[in-house]
Amino acid sequence: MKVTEVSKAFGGVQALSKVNLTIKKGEIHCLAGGNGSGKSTLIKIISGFYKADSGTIQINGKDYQKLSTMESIEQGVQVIYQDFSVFPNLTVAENIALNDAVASKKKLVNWKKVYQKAEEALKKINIVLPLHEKVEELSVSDKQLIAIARAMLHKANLLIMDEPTTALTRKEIHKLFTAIRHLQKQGVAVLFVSHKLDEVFEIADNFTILRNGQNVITDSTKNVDHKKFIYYMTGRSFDAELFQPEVSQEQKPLFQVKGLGLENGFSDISFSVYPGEVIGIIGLLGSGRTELAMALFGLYAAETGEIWIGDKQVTIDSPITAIKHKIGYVPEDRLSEGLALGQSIARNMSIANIDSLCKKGNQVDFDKVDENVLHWAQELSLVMQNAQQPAHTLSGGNQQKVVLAKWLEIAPKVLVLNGPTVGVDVGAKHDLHNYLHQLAATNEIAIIIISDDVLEVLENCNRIFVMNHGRFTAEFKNTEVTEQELLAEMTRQE
Amino acid sequence: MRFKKLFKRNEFYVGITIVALSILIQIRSGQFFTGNNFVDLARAMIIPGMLTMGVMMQIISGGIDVSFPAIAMLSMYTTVKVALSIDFQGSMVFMFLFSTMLGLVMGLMNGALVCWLKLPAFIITLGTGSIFLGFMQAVLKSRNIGILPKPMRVLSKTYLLTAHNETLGISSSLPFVFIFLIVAVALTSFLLRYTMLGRGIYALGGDRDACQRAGYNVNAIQMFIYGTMGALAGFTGLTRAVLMGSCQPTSLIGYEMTCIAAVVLGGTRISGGHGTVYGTLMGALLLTMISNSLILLGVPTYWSKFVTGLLIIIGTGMSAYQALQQRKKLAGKYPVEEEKQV
Amino acid sequence: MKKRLNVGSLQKRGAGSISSQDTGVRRLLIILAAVIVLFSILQPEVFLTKDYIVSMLYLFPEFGILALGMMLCMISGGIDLSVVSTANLSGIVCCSILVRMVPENAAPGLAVAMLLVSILAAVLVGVCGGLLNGVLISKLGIPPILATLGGSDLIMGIALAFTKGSSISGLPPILSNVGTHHIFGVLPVTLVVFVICALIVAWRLEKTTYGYKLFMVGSNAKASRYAGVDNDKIIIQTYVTSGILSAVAGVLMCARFNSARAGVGVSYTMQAILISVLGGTDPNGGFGTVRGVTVAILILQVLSSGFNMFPFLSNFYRDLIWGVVLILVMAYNHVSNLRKLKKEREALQIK
Repeated sequence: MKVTEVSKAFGGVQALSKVNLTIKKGEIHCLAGGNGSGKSTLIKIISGFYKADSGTIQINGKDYQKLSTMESIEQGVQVIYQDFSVFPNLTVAENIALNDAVASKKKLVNWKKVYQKAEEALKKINIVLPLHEKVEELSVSDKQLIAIARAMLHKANLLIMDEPTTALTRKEIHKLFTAIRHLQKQGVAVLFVSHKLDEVFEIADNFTILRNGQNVITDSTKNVDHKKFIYYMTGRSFDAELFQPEVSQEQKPLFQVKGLGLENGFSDISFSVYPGEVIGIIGLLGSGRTELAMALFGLYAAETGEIWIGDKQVTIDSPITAIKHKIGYVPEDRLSEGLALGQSIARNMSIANIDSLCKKGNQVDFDKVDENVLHWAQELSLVMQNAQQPAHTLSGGNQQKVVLAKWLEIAPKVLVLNGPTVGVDVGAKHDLHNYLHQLAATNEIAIIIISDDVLEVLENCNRIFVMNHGRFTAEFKNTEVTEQELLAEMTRQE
Repeated sequence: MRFKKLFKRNEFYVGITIVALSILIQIRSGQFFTGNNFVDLARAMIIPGMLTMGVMMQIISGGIDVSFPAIAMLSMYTTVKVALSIDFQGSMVFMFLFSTMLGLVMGLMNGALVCWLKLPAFIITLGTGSIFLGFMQAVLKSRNIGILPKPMRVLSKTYLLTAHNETLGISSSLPFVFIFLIVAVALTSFLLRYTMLGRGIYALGGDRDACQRAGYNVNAIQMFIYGTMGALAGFTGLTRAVLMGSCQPTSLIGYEMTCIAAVVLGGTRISGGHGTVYGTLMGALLLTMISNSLILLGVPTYWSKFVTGLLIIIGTGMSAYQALQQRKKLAGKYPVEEEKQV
Repeated sequence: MKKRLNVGSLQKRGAGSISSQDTGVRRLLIILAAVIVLFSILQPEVFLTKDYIVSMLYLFPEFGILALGMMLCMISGGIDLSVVSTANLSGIVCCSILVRMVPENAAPGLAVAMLLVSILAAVLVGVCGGLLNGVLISKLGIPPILATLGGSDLIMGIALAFTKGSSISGLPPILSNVGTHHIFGVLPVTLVVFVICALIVAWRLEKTTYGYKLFMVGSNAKASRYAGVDNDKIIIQTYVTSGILSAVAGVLMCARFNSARAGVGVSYTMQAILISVLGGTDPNGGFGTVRGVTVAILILQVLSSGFNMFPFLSNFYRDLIWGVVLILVMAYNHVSNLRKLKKEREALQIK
């Protein structure tokens, strides 16, 4: 398969520009790149889910300008998406066998064959799952295994895996790799999207790195080492300025967490934030970082442990109590959790604080709302025409500024940011980071960045906690740790 | 483990309620487990049973249609009217075919609008239902027709069997059209269980994006579902006229809510993806029993509405509440137990 | 980067409204004007008479008030199928109090006091109905369609059981006297009631924190929860408001018929939904204005009154026309939305 000069834009944001990618038969190719680098978009174009604005895709020597999903499947392209694309309401067996049956244009279902095929597919990756169980009853890792088994069942020429190992244990990953190599021997090409370095070097023959929607390099994994790989991924050898606030440890901490735990989420989490600090919590998908972030904001009530703000212990069991105690939370998924996209910028910005922006009789004081919106828009250099525009007309970076402004509006004492710059362009990213530094310098707020972006955390947080399987496994000062060490700590499997 | 799952299913509770209600009625009146009562129930099940098959399919796919009673009535009325005006003497097959085709066309209109506008199907079909009904009452000036075309009269006098009740001295007959219900149920079961299209309906209701990625043509499935509902409604409308022995063009007004209630009671989730034929039949049976047999219990009929409402709330509330609690808890994001073993 | 920022006046536009909604209302006003002009030309000697206009103004408030409640529920992302049941039960409660408590030849003072008591009781019934729906939806998580469908049957069931399916009549004249009264001979009391309801709803929706939050809940319930909005409270408030409005409409219906019966005006549910959507309320939640709904009500009333002038057109044409109008408006909105989205994308690309 060969992708030539493919470009794609969404609402004015160039997601991909003139990207090339070549995968030979039986090759295991790794596609790497940071958040927002265009990996997912490229995959969706290859699978026919999106249509490219320009460029061609060649599969098995056949050129396509506009590839459809059906054509893609016919040509043997199989994708395992990050969200697995499984049907929660169907059984395991059917989930595995359905896509293949659709592709073969069958009209009737042969249940005996469905179970046969499902078993066969699971055998290929050496895994046992309850075939009659409905998928909604299963764990996330089981869902992933189903997605993998499903793709393997199909006569695939090219198997695309979008970060397939995030929810798997080491043992399961080993199984998966064995299966992948087995497929490779049969001449199946595998496009493996991952940013776990160890895995990339373990399994891939070649790699391609994307950054900001453009090709950076394509090479053999034999020719580079870890350090160089990270250099390509991030675009700089690491010499950026590190955030180093003046923190006097004599002061009392602004925010403390002691032995926080939540079943199936995380356990025994303790840390404290001193005035002027920005701390980072870093971990892979499924490490429990998101659950922790949500618990700090009351979206899940932690089952054990204590939360202290200043020298007062507080109970946080809902966003309402969290806001009462001046905790703000910039969520992971801006589009579904952070904004009501159809509503105006002004409303999105002022909603968290609206109860204190009113006159008597619960009447909204629109003068005050206007004033504050204008204030934050200037403070954060938000680019907009009008505060009455619906939020969906903004670019990702500006949308994130709106979410941030929403929390600045409540004058927070604690600000938790979960993946604050996902899908944000470089300029806005810079603005946001700078603003956080300024904010920290007021010494009146505790800022916690939760992320899987090593560089972001390293640059912006003076102390970093690594989260792995629901626990803090290490603590570093940003001046005393390298990216490689952090990555190694994050991906360590025991 | 198996039992635990059973307790979580709506069908289980509906089944228990049906059994309890039957025993209660039997004790109170002694008239439940009699041949003629069963025949009466079977007869009363024909129309709701047939219609709920279509409604269930729609809800499984994540859609809904409230215009089908209007489709049924309009198809029925038009067919009867046309047959009368040409003094039709031929086979019933043609009349059913005609009525079904009319329904199909209207159903496809619904489908096209739902696919195109991407607005809630409830609102769209509310609008089209209003159009169909308005068309029948205003343009066609529909009114009750007491004397049906001859083929229909013959069919409505055709019975499969008759049950006598010695104690009450009455007898009930099971009309021939009961066979239609059996056929509709059999076809639906087959479609949903053994065809790729049927599985596509479940897949669509389960996850629309995943359904598309699997290679299904989502719009085609939707067109099929709404078309089928229309055709089924057209067919059932005429069946109803045969059953009643007269053509009452407004007799199905408000029936959509009864059918949706029956389907949901039978364990079909309104959010789509889940539903079984036997569950739906049980839901329809329970509602039929309440409206038919409550009087045998000595409960005045005007309580039936109250009981229906209560059943809907309890039936949907239980599973909704379970789902809500589940969402509040954390699902195991990573395999904790496995880790301990390693 | 320093750019003059235009915040736009929030006050003028009203909370939650975006300019496209104003164009929607403008579009409806044009339709209304066209319909009025059409009928005026066709039948000037009937349509333009005082009596005819007054009768229109007298009739529409009943389902207009129901539509206001429906709009609120739709903005929250739900729907209320129980409006008519609630209206019926409220009316029945109101009427039975009047029948029992007001003796024949009662002093006017007593009659008025009892009227107020009975209306209060009716409103209380509305609150209970709304509370039931709101709790089922927010606390139990039942989808609004099913919760209000079940709630509707339950409430209607109570009404049927209470009246044993028959109607309550023999009311003291006070209710019908007040309800059908025309102030100065031209201004129907029902219209006054509608205007009061509409103003209160509009004020709640556009000026208070309740409305401010309601739009957020309807637009993205998750995001509003993440912003500390008490979604459950907002939902319950919304359905209770709808219940109260239904009760008011129920009392008006009783005044017009001078009796109460379960099952009166069943078709009003559908009409309320149609009006609400026609008035620009987004059935997916998040948008809707009292202005839009009011104009939509007027359009439909003018249409149906207009059709009444033609003896050869039966009342049933109303259903047909309403359905057609609804589908056309939805189709038109869909097409123009697509065009607007495309324009917005292009504008972004130029930047």
